[in-house]
Amino acid sequence: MSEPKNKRQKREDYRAALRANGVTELPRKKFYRQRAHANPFSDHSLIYPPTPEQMDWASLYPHYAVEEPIEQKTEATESEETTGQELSAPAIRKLTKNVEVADIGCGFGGLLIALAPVLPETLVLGLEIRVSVTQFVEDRIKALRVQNEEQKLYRNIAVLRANTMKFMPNFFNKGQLNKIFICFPDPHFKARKHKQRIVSTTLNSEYAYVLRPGGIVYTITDVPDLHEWMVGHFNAHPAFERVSEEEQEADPLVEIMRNETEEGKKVTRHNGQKHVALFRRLEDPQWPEEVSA
Amino acid sequence: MALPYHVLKVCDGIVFAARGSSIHSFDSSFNPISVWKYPVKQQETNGEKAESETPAPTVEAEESPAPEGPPAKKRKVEDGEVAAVTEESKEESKEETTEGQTETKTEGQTQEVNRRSRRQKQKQKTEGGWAKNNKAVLEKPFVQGMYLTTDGRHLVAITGSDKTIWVFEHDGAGNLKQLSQRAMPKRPCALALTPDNKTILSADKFGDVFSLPLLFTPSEPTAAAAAAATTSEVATPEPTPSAPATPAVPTPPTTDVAKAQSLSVKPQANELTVHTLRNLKALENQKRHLARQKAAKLAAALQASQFEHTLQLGHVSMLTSVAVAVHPGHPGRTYIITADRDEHIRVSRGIPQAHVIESFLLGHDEFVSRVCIPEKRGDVLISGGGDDDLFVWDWVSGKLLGKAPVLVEVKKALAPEEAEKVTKVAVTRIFDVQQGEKTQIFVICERIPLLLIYTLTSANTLQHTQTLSLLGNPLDVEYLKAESKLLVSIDPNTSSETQEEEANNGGVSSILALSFDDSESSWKVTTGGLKVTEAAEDESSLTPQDLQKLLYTTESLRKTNKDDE
Repeated sequence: MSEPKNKRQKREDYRAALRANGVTELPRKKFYRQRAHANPFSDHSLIYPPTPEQMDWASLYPHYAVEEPIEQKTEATESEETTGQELSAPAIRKLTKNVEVADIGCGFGGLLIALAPVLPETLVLGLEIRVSVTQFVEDRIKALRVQNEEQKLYRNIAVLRANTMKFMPNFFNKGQLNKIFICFPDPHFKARKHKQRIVSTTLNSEYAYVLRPGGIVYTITDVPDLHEWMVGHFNAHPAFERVSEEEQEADPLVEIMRNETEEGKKVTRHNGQKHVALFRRLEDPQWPEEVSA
Repeated sequence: MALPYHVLKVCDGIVFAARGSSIHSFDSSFNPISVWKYPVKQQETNGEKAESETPAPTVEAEESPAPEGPPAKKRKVEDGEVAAVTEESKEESKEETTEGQTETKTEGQTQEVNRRSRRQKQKQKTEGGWAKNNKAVLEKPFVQGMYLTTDGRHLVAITGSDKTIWVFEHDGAGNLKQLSQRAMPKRPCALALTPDNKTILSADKFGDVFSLPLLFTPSEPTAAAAAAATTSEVATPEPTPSAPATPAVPTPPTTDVAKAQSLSVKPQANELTVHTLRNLKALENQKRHLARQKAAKLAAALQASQFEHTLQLGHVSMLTSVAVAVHPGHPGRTYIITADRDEHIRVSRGIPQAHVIESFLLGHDEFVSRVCIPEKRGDVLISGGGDDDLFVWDWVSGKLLGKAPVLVEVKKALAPEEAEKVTKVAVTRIFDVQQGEKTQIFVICERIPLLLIYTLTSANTLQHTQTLSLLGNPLDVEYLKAESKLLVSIDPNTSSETQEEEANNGGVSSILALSFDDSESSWKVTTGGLKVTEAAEDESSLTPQDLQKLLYTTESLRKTNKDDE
């Protein structure tokens, strides 16, 4: 089923016009629709830095960029044998602070926008695999930044197209993140597709890698079985423990996650259930040799 | 056309060389000792036996050979197995009728049966076609890799299309005794053995690393099957009349059983999560079918779990290489290092803490196909793949120490018109040889008839020292320490030897022996390699194209048709 040409054309015209205007009005969703699923195993033509150090964060958070571009030279002279670093791209502008909150599969960006005023001092990044949807959030954030120029709002949020299942460590250093949100992920009902689920024993190790000890993974879904799956897999992982119900309900972000994500609103409209579970990243265990010694 | 010895492994004075699907052993002067042949016949009977011994739980038959089981993909089958499938489906149709009688009649039932049989026909057709198309390739799976325990007493091999890990006992004199064969759920790409020689780490095509005990006693298939029957029954919401009402037995000690049980035994969506009428209908259908499918899934999962294998870690990318490393300062700290097609090299802790990722070695722009930690330089890791350079890492700290050119050296060594054609390289082997104080690194690239030789300096840089032209495409490199000879197996089909030379030499060179000439301080081809004269028995059935596909697989890891949206 290929969609009629003129529809696609309309979308492109709309997006081009929006950009030409300098993105001052909020984008309309209907020009950014895309199939709800993406195959995380295929080689999309993704753009990702070879290492987190080579990530150009300044283009995402221009208001947090350091004024002077840091000279790459100083680093190279420190260690003479680093022929590799000398070859790397021209100096990348650094940020005054690092991204600490990630929304994996941010969709249309509802959570990002709700978090922006709540965590004003924190850089929040949305990651989404679908091109059109990412575009929408990008345009949305741009428009919001322009509209709220005086209050300096929405400067701390940004979106990126990425396949986090494969390339999370290309963006974040070990222990860089404080919070990870996984909101209404694709449930992948078929058993054959369970490997495509965003939460799995093996992927949890990667979340543990990018999260600092004490950091929290927030999960929410309307599918009871997926909830059980996520709880089961995080509980089974030695690097995570579930956050108690009391603590969970005391966290103001949980309420935001329940009500502000686009999918969350949709579930509310349909009177669906929402299952929330939070998991804390524990300290890495001691090496076995050191335990016995 | 001649089959090359495409995988080499040296154990003291013994050379193991895999040719097609057999493993040959030679002494240091290439006198043949023994041959292990892939047991085609035996395997088939084994498979059938397993089938017949499994008292199929009544309901499960419908979907049992279906590719819908959780880990199962369309498995490449041999002709014999296709026949088995057909037989099975006959049984299935029988059981279907009985099932039909026991079930309460629903209006859509006849329709249902029709649809089912149509599906079955399709299934047969596709599976048959699959087998036919790949017949030549699949007659016997090629040996993809061989690994030795550090004590040299066991040889572990993987064969390709049947996803099997073989363990042999080696008597030290070149004779192999097959101890076990284990078919993994996914195709193993590389193996590593833990330093204590007790555990095999298998890195597979789906990105997972499983640990398996080197030695194992196969669990009773009947017991497992019984367990399957009971577990499936316990979980069935509407027990079928014919199912025995035995109490639940303790489940076999495998992780997969738990996994199998957690499989979708009930629909995962509910009426509240489905928002459209069509989806609701689909959900109802799903519910109806799940009860039947579940049993089949359990059986499939159990079949794969008749031996102990534990998931240690996983990438969401095909794994290409796995290594076990020991911290240079803390001998008690072991690590698992895995490399994948998506440019990552991951350093995880060893078992039992493999869930802790220590670092990633990032910087490759193309796939990584090999990692090598030189024996005497345990702090350094050398990696290569689709990039133009080799990367040298301090793997403990995760720092890139430097790079060494590969493509440039290849171009330099080739004739200008040849060099023009080479725009990229795919490193297939990185092999270290310790010569006194000197650590030499040998590198071969796919379809490039050269051997690149580097020296790892004390400052941890890789210095190119020599490029050696070979008679044909190199396939594997090994070092025969007893004779101080480097062995390079080459593809005789690409050999540049003339007929006359072949006649003079007594056959096509298949394994070259190289020795270090101290006076010129360079490596040279010497006598004492292996020539092939007699034709290997598999040769007739393989077309040159098929053989190419089996031997040259690395370049295909490169990402080409990047699709979007």
